[in-house]
Amino acid sequence: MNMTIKNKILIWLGVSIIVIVIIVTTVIWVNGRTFRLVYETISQELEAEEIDFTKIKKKGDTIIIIYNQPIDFEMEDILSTWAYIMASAVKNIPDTINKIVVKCNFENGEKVEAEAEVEDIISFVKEEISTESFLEKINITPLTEGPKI
Amino acid sequence: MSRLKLLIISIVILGGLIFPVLFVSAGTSITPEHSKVKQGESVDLIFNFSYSTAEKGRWMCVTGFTIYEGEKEINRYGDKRESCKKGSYLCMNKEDITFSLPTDNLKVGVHTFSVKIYVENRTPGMGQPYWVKQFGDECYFIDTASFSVEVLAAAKKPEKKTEEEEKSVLEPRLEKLPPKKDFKERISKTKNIERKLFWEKLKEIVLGEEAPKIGQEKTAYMFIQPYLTDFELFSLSGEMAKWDKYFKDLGYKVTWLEWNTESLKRAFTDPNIGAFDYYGHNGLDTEGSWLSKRIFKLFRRTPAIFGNDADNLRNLIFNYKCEEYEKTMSLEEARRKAQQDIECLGLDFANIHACYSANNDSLMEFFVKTSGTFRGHRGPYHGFWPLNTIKTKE
Repeated sequence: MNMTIKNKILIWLGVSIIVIVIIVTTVIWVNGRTFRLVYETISQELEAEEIDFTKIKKKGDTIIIIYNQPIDFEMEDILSTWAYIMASAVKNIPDTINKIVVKCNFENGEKVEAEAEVEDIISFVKEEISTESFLEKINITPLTEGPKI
Repeated sequence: MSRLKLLIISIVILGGLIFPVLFVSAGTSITPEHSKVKQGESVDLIFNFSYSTAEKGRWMCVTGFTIYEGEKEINRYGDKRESCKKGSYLCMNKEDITFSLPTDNLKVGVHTFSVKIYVENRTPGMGQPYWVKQFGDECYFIDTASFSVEVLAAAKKPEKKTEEEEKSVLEPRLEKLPPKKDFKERISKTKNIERKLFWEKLKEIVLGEEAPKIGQEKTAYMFIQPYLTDFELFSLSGEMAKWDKYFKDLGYKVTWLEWNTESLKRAFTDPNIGAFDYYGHNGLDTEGSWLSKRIFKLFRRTPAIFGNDADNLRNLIFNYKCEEYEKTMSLEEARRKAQQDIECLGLDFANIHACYSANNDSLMEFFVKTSGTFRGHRGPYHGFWPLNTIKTKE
């Protein structure tokens, strides 16, 4: 059976596509597996403290952790929850991550983001910096209007 | 055959005698003549000076040497006559001088150096522990020598990041996670937490120009409405932190109070009050039917603080001021003076973090002096966001 040049090109193209698909799938699977392990560990640690964790996302050098927050809280509650989530993330994430963002979805629909540098979180947990200076280093960004006053 | 042997032996002996004369500087030898080192390491050289004495009791004293690469001076040793007095070994010609040449600034490759040696003539002093200079004041050049060094590329130092990475592979960034209650305990010890939380977006939004710093002691009274929910208080914390800093930066003494009779009395009878800041609900409601309430909300929306519009506030503060003035003057005079005061409190700043506070100028007219700054909110105010209106009283 004589193969035309066209057929040969098509076969090579097909083989190349299959190889590329296999490589990409493998890379995604390996990354996904690592990420799933991190996800599961963080999830377990947050659930142990009754934090309603919903999602974890990676964006560049930042990890975003989303959780649901009841609104009957005291200021200490919410700040300690953020600190705990941040510490849990730092403990489990790869070293390439430099920032942790905690996205706080309040049960009344309001949303706030709290962001901190990994170095600051480590210093706070190890008590190398004061609580006051850590609080000042947290960047809080409201994503909604807030309650009507 | 025997002649040939003799010739060879003669050449060897003669060569051995002539060679040092031709290629080694007389009186000075440097060991090693050629060495190899890695960049950054230093080369240890031994300088041996073997000058003979000029006459009995008189010595050549090596005062120093200078090392050149081409015309450029690379390094020097001694060279000061004072050092001869203290370092007699330099004059004795008995000991070798060990010199360490750093290679930090040398490029990779072979470097040939020339050395110029300087001496003085000296003689031992009578009973003195050091050598006394005999002729002239100047050290003079007597001899040269040379040596070469091959500088090899240094092994690459591991970069800092790599070290950190290696460390982090071995040691996790956080070994263990403390329980949440530990964090809560630490945070609970922080006073006035809400005033420590700058909210990133709010930082940038300060309405109006920066006011000049005040020269005199003034107080900014910051009022928080009682019965705010924790969430409402939390939502206002960004603004609280911002204005706390703002007034402190302007030079005000900042006092935080809960809105009640005592605190109002304290603030508005203080002659140093310069600014007023309120965080809480408008609180003004009206009695009536469902329809009249709706109509009221739609059309009136009067600026108010915790249920007190400008007129009510005037009455409240009139009473406080009267009480205060009565301590030092007659009732009639106290009432007259209080009446004058409440026309306008004459503050530099008033910020009202409440719904509808800037819907009209009534609160501005009451609180701030001419050219004073009033900030409020037109329409419903939501705690996460800054005030949307700034006015300067004309």
